[in-house]
Amino acid sequence: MTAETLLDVKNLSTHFRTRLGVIKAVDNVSFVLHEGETLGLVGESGCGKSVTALSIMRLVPSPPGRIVAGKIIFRGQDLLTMSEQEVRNVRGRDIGMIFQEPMTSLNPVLTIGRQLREPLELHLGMTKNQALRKSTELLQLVGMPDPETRLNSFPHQISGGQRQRVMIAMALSCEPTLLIADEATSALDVTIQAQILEIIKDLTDRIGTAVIIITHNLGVVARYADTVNVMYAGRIRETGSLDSVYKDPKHPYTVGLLNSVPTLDLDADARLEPIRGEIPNLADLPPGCAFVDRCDYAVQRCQEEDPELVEVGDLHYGACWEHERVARNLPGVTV
Amino acid sequence: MTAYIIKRVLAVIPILIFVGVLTFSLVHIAPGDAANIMAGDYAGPDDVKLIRKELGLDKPIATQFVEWVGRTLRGDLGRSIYSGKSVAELVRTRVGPTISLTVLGGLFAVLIGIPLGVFAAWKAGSRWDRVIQIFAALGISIPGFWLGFIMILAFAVYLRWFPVIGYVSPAESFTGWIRSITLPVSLLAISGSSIIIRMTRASILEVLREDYIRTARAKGLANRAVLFRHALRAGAIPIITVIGALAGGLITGVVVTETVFTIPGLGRLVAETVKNRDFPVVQSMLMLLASLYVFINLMVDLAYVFFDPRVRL
Repeated sequence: MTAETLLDVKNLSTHFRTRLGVIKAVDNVSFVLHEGETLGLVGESGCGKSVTALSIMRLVPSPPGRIVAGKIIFRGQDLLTMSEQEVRNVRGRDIGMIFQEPMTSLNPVLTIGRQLREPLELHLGMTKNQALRKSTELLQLVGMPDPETRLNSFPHQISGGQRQRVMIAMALSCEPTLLIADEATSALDVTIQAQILEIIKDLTDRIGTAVIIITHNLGVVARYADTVNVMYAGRIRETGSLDSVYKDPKHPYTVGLLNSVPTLDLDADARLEPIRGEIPNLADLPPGCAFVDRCDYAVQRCQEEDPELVEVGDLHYGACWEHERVARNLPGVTV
Repeated sequence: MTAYIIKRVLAVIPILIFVGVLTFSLVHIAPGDAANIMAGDYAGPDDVKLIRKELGLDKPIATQFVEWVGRTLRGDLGRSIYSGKSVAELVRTRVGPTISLTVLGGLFAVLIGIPLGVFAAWKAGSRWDRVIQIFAALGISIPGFWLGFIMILAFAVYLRWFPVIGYVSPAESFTGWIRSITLPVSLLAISGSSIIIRMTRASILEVLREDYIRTARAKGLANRAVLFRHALRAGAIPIITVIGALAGGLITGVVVTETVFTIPGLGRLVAETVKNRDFPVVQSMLMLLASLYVFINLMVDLAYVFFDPRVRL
């Protein structure tokens, strides 16, 4: 992995002003993505995965959201200091995005063809006919049956899986260097999920597109990601290569996530070990580690001081005071 | 789709029959007798009887109805019992000003209302939004006749930019026409656009929260394309509904406007003939206006299908 740096997120903080107070949805998040690489962004709902993605697109709903600090260097340029017009040239052309809800992510009153044509005409300067031809090709690539007729269909006339194929075709139409897939398959049937993921992988490999896969599904990450960021309560708690994070987790939250996944080789009478408790109120985080109330490894220090990411292995970082005990699997000593 | 359109068009027939019955009965149930009024204060009972016979009012009501329907279907709209002019001729001489007012008033209401509504929704909560909303609230709540008099007072009497009363046909003098209709058209446009602004703002505001708007922005589309191509089309249904209602409202509103600005249009014609119990004219005029109303509603229903592919029934 000696590829060029594509995306360098530095100390990104995105806050939401609500009646309950300021919610630090993304709090001092940094990570790097190289060209052609696939990054898995995992965590429970509400941990800041999607807001991180929307921050990269500069699509955080504002108000109440606001990117309060940080840099997002994309191909050497900071997206956060760009003008609105410059950002629009990046969106859809250099960075494509697929959203979670295939049922509501396409405009119900415009035909599939009309929506597919838009980025092609806008960014690649195609004429209507060129764009229509290209759209047909794109629909073929994503495995849409009968693509030419489908161009004249409206979104409500096709299934959820097919709509997500349209979304993929649209997001990849200008051959972007980065694709963000925000829970792209979570709303689909399991069989369709696999098909959609394979299409994404196949096409992005072909174009050489780097991918950020945002999901709460660790199986998806295991299959497709090169590196993994585990997020919890607005921060990255552990990051590293897929192997190091999955086989040698250094943060109790990662351990908990991995233990909550059912596997086939688990004995029939063995019990899953879900993480106890709930995500803390983001508007009122404790002074120490945000995970402390749910952690089996917590010590006094965790209540008082918030751990920073430290190197815990080769290009492997974790934010836990007790990462050595986590690594040796010795929970529940004190507190 | 064609089946829907045919069904919708056929549904107009029973509505028009109902309107016909209602119009006829209303005119004949209403107190006051055309023959009495015509004959004047000094006429004897025999004179009145004679007039009744001439007008066909002595026949049974059912016979009168059947005769009226037959004549109307043949295109004979009847004659005024006062001037003796045919209704067709009366309409022809009076329709010009009314069309000028309603078409231009409606057009400006839409051309002002939709962009301002979209802009207000896009800038929701801003100072611009508040200014537009105050305009719309005033436009809706100030009565048209009052605002009309104020406009005449300010722009016609004091500033003398426009004539106080009357109408000039465009064939006579184009600038005279513009000057004579500016105030009434502005009045109709202000109240009309106010309603459109409010509905457009509410509808667009709701649509802007939808996921597909985020998708559109993620494609790199400019605000104009997001707002007018994606949001306005998706939020068109309630806006079309309110424009349809407004078009219907213009038909009745024009009576007030023409009266305030003393413009000899269809609205004034209806008001005068009702006062005179000139029942052949009233009947035909009501029928004409009601048909127009039904036609507008039909257009609105067909527009739904055009703007929202999900509408099927």
